[in-house]
Amino acid sequence: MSASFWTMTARHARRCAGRLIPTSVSPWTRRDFLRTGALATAALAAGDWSGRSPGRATASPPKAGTPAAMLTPDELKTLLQELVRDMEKRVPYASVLMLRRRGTNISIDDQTQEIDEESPSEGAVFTVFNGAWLEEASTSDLSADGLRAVAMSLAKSARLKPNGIEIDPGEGGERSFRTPSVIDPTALPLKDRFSRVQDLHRRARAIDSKLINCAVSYGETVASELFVNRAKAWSQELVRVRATVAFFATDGQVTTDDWISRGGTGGLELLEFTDAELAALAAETHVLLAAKPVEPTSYQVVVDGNITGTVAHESFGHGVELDMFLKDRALAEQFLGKRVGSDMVNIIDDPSLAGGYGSYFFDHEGQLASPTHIVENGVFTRGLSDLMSATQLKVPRSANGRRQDPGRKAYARMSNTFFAAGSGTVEDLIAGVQNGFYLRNLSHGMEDPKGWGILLVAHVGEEIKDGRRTGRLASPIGITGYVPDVLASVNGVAGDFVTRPGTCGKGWKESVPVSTGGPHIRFTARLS
Amino acid sequence: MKAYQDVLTSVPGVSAWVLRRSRSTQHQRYLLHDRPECERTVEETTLTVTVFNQHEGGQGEASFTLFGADAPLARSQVEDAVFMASLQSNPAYALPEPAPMPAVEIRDPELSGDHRRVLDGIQERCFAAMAQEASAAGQPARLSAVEIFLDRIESEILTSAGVGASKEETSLLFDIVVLARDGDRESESHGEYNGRRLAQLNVEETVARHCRFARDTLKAELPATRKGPVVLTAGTFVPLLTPFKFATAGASLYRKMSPLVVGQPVLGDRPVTGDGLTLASDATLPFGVESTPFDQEGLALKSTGVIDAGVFRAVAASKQYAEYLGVAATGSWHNAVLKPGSTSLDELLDASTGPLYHIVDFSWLNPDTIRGSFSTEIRLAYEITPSGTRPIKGGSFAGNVYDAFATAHFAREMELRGDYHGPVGIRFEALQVTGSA
Repeated sequence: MSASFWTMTARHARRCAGRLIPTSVSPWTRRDFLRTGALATAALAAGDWSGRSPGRATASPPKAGTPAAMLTPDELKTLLQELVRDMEKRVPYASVLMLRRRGTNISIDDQTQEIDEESPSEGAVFTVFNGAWLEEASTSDLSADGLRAVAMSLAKSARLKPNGIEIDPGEGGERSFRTPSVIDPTALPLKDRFSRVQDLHRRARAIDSKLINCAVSYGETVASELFVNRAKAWSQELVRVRATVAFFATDGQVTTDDWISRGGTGGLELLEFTDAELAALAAETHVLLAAKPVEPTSYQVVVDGNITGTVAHESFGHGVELDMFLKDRALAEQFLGKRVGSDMVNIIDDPSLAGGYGSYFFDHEGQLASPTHIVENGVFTRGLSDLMSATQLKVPRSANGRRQDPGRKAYARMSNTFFAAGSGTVEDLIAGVQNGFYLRNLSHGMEDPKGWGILLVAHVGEEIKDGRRTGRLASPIGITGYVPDVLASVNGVAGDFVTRPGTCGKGWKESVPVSTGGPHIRFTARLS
Repeated sequence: MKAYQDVLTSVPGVSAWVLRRSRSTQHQRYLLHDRPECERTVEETTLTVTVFNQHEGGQGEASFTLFGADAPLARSQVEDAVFMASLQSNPAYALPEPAPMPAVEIRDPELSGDHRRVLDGIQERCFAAMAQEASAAGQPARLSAVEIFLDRIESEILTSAGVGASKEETSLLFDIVVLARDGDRESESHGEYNGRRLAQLNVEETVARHCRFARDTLKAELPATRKGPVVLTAGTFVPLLTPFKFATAGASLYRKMSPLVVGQPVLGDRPVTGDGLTLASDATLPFGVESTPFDQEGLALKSTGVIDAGVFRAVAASKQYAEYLGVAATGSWHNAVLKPGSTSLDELLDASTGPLYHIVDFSWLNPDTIRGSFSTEIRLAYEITPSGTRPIKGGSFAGNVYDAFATAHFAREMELRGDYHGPVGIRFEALQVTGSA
């Protein structure tokens, strides 16, 4: 079983930020879609866990022993609402989240072809607030009896600790959402998607016969989520797509690679690669064979949008996740309302960003997605919360309570984190550098919310001398510094804007899909 | 499993199949300072079905996972998987034949019983250890957060080649963050135990070490820029083995991603002035995180000497890549077992001939698996000179693993740490640290 070599092993699979983990864009074909196409899509958008038509809806309780996959959307909602009501007879607050993630990964290189599923997950998470903390039970048994047993056992065993804290159930009602797209991958037969990947591999391979390998990796996931508490029953279906083209070259002594990736929530329209950019990538892959380490010292650097976004992610992304404030793990707590960067620094986290890889309609604790302006003109204004951190810190909630899968708790997590664009061009920024580097293609990054160190690793660095790119490359390049110094040194923000997909960890685990992005920016940092 | 087997054998186009069933029970406890933040139970049952299809163009395979106990397997699901497999045209290979499975210690009886009692015990020990640190003179330390995960998993495998096997395993994650304060300044240190056995978790030692690290971080300064000897301990060097594992893996060699050749030195023509690298992949290591008697296709696993005295001796290959490459099927990489040296750690840390850096924590050391280059930030280290030791932080650490291991000397003391078993420290003679001028 060769599955997952390109998604789990190859370095080009690493993308964005946090503690970087290979992107977990999952594979798999929704067999429901293979079978019933758009009809099933509509049903899932309404929260149907069977993929069948929602036509059979009734509001009566399901029969004992009925699996959730056999329930209509209304039956399932009715059951979960009833369980929440029953749990709240004993505890002050209860909710339930049902999650199902399926996906397909298609990878083709010169030697192998793979279609596989990756990290599928499915389960229900029951949450109760006992007056002081959260208790949860998660199960993969989605039968009506199984769900009821887990819910009642959790409520019964909860250790009640009334202390005056109340949980606000938030906006009410019943709503359902689905990612919009132009070319919906789940509506295309698998054979067509496989053919598209084959075509891209053929096109990329034809660019340069001297390359030793060319790998194309495509991934799509569909996450179906249903959140119920006493005020609401919300469902969403999130479709994420991602593609990477990677080239490999050798001179007999050294082997190197370079890659381009695309991705977001939406359809295949997000995954276009032009011949010109593939040709440029192939040329750069060869030049990287001669790349040398950088002379370690401080430089002025111009960085691409992905690295810009990761600066945001690692500095005032992780550092302002409010559960870290509760743990006294974030230095930013002391800087609320204070200047933390030059007035060109505007950092935003926005789960409602159209097409962002980290986008969603509501978070895993039932909060409707909306943007958070974290740093405004260099001043730290607001952090990112999950339910408990907002409740305990008595601040307005943001929609950032996210969990990796049903087996993990929700934490305060980023979604799409980016620098706002400025004006001017990349050439303007480069022209202002006497001795520095143009850094592009992020490899990985790491946060340090308590010490405010920052680490980013760029795959490609091109020397800049007297305002001009010289073509001399270095690889890889570590970018380190003290966060306030780095942000204070930002003295140029271009008007372009991109976001790139990635997977973010909280510390060393808990991966969730995110994007980072922004314009090209210019700052000063230590390179090595 | 018999009912699933019947469905699989009834679908045309299934040339081979693998069934894997797993049932896990996990308990998680999260502490916020000295009080509960969250407590969770997780029950999950899965059945992963892999089918193979042989056709004129070669062979393909496809997997899908069913959730919940006794999840029904529909014929249509298998037909869809056969269709997915039929799209791929890879060289055919045969699933592993039945063979005696090794006895591998991966289950701790202490983690197989009452999880809440174990959680309470670990928490109690942690609080007691922190109480001592809180009352310590000078810079008191306190708890920021703790996460404890206990897991027991039962799994079985059945294949069309006739393999039938099962295993029971346990795991334990102990994740701790401590804080130390000096006036207005505060620092943290993060520690983690990831293993399979309660007796291996030394809560008291973990707490003491990370309180010490947090206090030292308060005093740490930017290092001086220097290329010279560096000693890595506390597991910080384990990621440096990743490029070697990647380059000796069957999947990489088959894809021409690795320049290494069996029988040739892994460091090329670099002069080796260190101990020489001897590295094995061992799936049978007692209580190793990557230990298992069989892999996902039912291949019986063992220990394989991959690199011996710097020479590439055997490919770490699953049955698939072993057949493609014409080598023995050893299984892909599992636990990395590194041969120790003959020098004590104290001797490696000897700075009488010149200053050295002793690094105990990085932000994230994540080498380029293909090229072997790395660059990272030092979270905590010590500069050791004949005149004394001072903590440092914030500088960068860069180099290339192939160059670095040519000068590596390994400690003779051994440790088991997650999926690594080997020396507790490595000294590299000429690595770049960049900090103040």
